[in-house]
Amino acid sequence: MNTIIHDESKMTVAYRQFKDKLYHNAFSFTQLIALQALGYLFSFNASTTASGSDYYYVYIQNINPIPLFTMTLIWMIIQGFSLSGEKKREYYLVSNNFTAYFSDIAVLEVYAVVIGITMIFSGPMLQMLANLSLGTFQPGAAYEAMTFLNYLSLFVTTTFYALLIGAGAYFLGILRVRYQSFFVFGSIGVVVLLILWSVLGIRFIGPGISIGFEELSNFYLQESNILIWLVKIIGSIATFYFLSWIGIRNLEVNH
Amino acid sequence: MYAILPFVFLLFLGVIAALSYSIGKKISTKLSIRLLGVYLLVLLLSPFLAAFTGNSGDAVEEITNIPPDYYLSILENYSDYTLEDLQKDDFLAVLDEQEISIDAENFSVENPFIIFTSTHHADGWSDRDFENYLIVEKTTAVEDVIITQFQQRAFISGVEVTDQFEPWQWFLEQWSRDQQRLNVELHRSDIQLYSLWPLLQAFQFDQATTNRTFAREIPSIDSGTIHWIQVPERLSINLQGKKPFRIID
Repeated sequence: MNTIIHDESKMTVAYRQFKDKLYHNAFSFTQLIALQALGYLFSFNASTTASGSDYYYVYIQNINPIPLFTMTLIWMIIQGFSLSGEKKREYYLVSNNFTAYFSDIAVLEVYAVVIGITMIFSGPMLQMLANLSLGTFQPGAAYEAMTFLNYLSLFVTTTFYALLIGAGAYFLGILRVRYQSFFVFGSIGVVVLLILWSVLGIRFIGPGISIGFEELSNFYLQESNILIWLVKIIGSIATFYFLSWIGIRNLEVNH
Repeated sequence: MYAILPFVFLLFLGVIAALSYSIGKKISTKLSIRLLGVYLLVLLLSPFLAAFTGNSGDAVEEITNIPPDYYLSILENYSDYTLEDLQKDDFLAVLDEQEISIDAENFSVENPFIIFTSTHHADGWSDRDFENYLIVEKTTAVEDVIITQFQQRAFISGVEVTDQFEPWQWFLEQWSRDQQRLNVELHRSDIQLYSLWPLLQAFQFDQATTNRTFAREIPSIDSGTIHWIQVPERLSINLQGKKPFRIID
């Protein structure tokens, strides 16, 4: 039996491992549903715009899917992090670092596509929920102006963003598996360095320079050229993949 | 501020881990896959469900049918209408009906029942005359003062918000040692509307376009109020304020 299995190519084993991981991690989809349910809830109270006169004041409560998107990305982080640490199933006796790595990446890519699909339908879903629960609801001009290309763009971008976040989390997970307790110290060290950077940056350079989530996300979000955006996003994902591979290649698979 | 985010995130992960641990053993792999299937099915059907559960578009059509400042045209030609006409009017909604108990015998020509046509606001705004909105009808049909408030039906972007207007609060005010007068207090109406924004932050290529679409102004509402005051026919009244008053004898 073992001989037959060992005769199979790496890709075949990786594919089987991929299917096995998808199946045995099916509970993660339940987590996704739960997190997205929370996201839908938070989306209903995103922000308020108000204007009016002496006689009346109109408050427009904006239902914005950003909290939903954020919750979904958090799910992706959890999956990337947990996949990198999951190396204990008996099936993996015949696997090696490459098949473990390849199957993890493939699972993450499937997750990213699932996220892309769920995000396409987030608008109609919110519209349906609002229709059912709110009497004074209107879809909004920007929402109604969305075209097929907008939805296609939404699918592509959210899928890539999810993949980027997932690949980043996977890389961190690999570092955690590889360095164990040193990883905790390393994380604390990075936080301390970031705080020091902020303090020293403001002290010596001034407020003009800062590195934060906003600046980091603007690197992708503010890019208006599709080709450059693709280079940026694919390059970032590839970097994480490469770093993850560097991290995993010497690891014990059944660690 | 950013420094605290990793700890918030870890706390969040902990809560999710605890929840997953508590329910994870009760949900099998097959059940999870079925749940995902149902969820994806609902998502796929959501455009149809959204269309099915949404407004049929009748409201939007009604807006175009309501002449601008419709309530003003009624106030200008008030003698052509009866209370029943206004109650049946499709462009108006009865916002409130108030009954103020009085004893008509206590009033006379020398000591009339005063309707004070200058209001004050609950929030302390400047005084405003409101006689422009009043129609006073003397009728044998009532024993007390009955005020019916009509509101021209109001829409914002096709969504009706008429019932969110605060009705004016009529009350009897001690005017002098022996005299009471009818006065009114206005509360500002807080109108709430929900609007769905698309998931735009994920876009880059059409950001300039979407930013333009994002900029929105809250439109002014074409609406107004009519107060039809019924008083007992034998009641002597005096309207304090600017003339002409709209009185139906």
